[in-house]
Amino acid sequence: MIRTVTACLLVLLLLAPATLAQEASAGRHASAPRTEINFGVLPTESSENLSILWQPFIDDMAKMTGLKVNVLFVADYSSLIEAMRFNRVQVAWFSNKSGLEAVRRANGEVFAKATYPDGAPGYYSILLVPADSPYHTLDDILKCDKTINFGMGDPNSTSGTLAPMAYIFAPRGIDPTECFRNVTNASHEANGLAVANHLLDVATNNTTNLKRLKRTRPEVLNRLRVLWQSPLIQTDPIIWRKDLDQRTKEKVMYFFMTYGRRADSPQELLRQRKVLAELDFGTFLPSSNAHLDPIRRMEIVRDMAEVRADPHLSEAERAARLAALQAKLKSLGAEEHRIIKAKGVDALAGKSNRSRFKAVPWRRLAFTLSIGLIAFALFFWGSASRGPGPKKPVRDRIFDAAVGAVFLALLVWAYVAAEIYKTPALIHNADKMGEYAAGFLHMDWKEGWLYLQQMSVTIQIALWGTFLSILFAIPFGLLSSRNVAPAPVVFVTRRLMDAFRSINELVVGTMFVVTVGLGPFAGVMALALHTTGVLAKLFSEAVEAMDPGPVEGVRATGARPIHEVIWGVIPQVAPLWTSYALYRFETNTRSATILGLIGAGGIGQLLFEQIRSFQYGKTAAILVIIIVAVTLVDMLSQVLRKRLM
Amino acid sequence: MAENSKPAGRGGGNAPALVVQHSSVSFGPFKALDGVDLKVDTGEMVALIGASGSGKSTLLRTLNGLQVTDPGSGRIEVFGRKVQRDGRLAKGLRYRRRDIGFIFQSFNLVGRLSLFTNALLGCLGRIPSWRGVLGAFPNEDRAHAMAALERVGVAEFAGRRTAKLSGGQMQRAAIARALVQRARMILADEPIASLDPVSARKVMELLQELNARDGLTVIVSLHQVDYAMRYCQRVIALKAGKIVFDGPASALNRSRLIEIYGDEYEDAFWTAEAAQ
Repeated sequence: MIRTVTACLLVLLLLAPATLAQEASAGRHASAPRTEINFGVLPTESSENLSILWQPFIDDMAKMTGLKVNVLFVADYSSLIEAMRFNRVQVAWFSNKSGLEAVRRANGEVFAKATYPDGAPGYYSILLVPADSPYHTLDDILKCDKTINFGMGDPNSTSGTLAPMAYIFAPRGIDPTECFRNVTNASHEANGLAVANHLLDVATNNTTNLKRLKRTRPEVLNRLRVLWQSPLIQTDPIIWRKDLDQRTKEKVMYFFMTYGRRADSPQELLRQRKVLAELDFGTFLPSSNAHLDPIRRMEIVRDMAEVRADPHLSEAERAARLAALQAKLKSLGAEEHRIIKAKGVDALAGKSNRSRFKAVPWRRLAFTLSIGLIAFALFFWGSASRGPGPKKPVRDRIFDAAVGAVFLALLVWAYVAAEIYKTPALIHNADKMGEYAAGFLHMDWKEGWLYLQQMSVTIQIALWGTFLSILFAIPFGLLSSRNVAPAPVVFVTRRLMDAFRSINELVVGTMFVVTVGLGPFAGVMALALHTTGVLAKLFSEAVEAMDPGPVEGVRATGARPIHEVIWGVIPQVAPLWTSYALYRFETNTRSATILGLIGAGGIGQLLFEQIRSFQYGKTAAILVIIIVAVTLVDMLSQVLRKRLM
Repeated sequence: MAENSKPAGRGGGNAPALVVQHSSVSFGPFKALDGVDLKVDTGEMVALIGASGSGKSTLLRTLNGLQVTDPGSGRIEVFGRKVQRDGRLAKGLRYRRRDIGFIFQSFNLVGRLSLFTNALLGCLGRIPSWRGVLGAFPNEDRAHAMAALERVGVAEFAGRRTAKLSGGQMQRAAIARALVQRARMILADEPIASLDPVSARKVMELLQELNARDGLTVIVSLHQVDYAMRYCQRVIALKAGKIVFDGPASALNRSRLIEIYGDEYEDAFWTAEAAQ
């Protein structure tokens, strides 16, 4: 049995690199005329809704261009940008901000823009407050007395972050993180809900999302008030990869420019218009990278304000930078197609953290230290031996007291960062939680069958992710065991495994999304890599705890080291290894759910889409499926593990 | 002390079975072996006695390279071939090890494998590596393993999981493993220390039989002097890593043993004394 498994493992280990190489080369094709394109769609609603809405449009696109059109629904802005960057997507519907990033780093080019069904040329960024809020004007909230909790959007969002920064904060030289008590980043939906429930005092949003909210949850809308509205923000750009071949570009362009405008019959035209209306589009207009100029302008305005407000710059430096930005602003008009190599938006996301580092919390540090010292003294005093019996050595007492004191000091130190002081809010706002939870009570099982299918996809992802990680963890685990491998090898392998283990599955997953595309395989790879790190450590611990006798027994027969491992080590650790592997399978079933967040498929993706679109009834149904499935996997593996031990 | 008694060596060959020259082993400041010189001829049955910590196990483990001698010290040869020298193991050590069956006090069998597989592992040194990796053992060796288990008297448990068997049965299986190895010499490190008296006698009789009938050279370390005197012609005594006695069992007397064992004397000797 063990032998057969070993043989299989060896074959698989040999095959694995070949398969990976093949997979990698499949994505690259030179610029010969395409017969197939991938069309990417932004995350605004749940993708099952999206696919129903988009399918007629995609079908028409395929029919009229003669290309096979695959549609990709992406879980967040950055995934779509990365997908285009690695040519997983050739044409996509972007937002302005993400579109600018796509042009900058994903070789994208704006060729069309959408209008709204009513012909409106754009939408507005807004600030939302609770309907009964005491704040009525911008000045009310810009007192900067650090009393307001402010909700910013996704760092890549035009209306959620960029427009408020450019139109409100930058011109006034205000840094939101210093002005407000707390600044958080969240989706429009989450921000809207948080304001409605008084969890945030003010949050960014946009008019499009407000319309959607009116459709899906009008009662939430009634609890909100718009405090500020931005100048018009252009409609969304349609972007293709610049290196798309000319023939394909012409076909795609022709389609976008004629769709909903020209058809063989009035009925057909009406149908097309209806398809567009379902998507919240009017028609499409030709456009170019100049479409993004207002966004670039926003960025520059924001950068200028930052430079003006930055206290660490010398006057000369400040002037030089401002002049450079000014020049950029001018050149925007002159060369419309030039891509500005301005400071990326990432700087904005990073800004809040940086400014928090500025102030070293000396008082907190001192407080922590004194708590630690007091605790140390108390522990030391308390551990003194009293009365009859052997005396505890002073060195042991010092060590024990130090461990206790450091632990306590760490808890104190982490108190603020972990926001433990918010605990009373749990009780205070319990009713809101109940209200939120009430949405979950009306479970919506209309698509139960789909959930089951997706759950099985998730379990399959976990299965392969765990299996691959076992394959890799066996050699790596042995190589990081001190009693098997030489010390330098152990050191290197262990550090490598530490790295595998400490990188979150989501991060690894995003990495794999750009190499193998969106979908379950990226999830499998993410799980495999992370779990390899975990299992290798567990495996090596089992190996280090084994009895050296049998290994010596095998060695004494004149066997080779590989035989010592196969016949002396592995039979001893097999039960423990299997138990660990099964345990990781349980864990991975849960983790695979989270991976839906980065578009790795399975039930998780459905789950997050439902949450994003306020479909709590469906969310609840999915949660029930997940709980049942995870419990079943858990019970099964526990039965197996018990038999093994 | 080097009074080398040489009982009539059977099938002597041209090289002695074992040559140890000036070998030392230190664990930190502690000298487990201190300049040991030793020669054993083919076909001898030698008992190694001495108090706990006198270096019996260490000596046996250096003989098949499980323990490395101190750098710059000594030379160990088995059947005329180098095992280690100057604290470095010989290159083809694993080919030397094939000739040496090693019996451990704690059996050192793989508990989760069957008795049969454990015995079969003895052929790992002789068969091609890939066969060992995949467990594709030749039929000839399978038959040999079965025969060896038969010979040591545990054939009926061949299919059982080793961990479920008694100490005596396991130790006999360990001897079967050495037989499958086709070893020419058996080193036994306190093979009966964790066995009940009946099993202990069986194991010692088995070793004696292998020596007498098959001509295997046997070196067995024993804590109990009476066993040594009963089963072995030649006795070597160690004290603090040095050989303090080397001669026929009959030359051991009370004062010699007190000298060898010191405080542990009564503990190791009372049955032998009673016998005398």
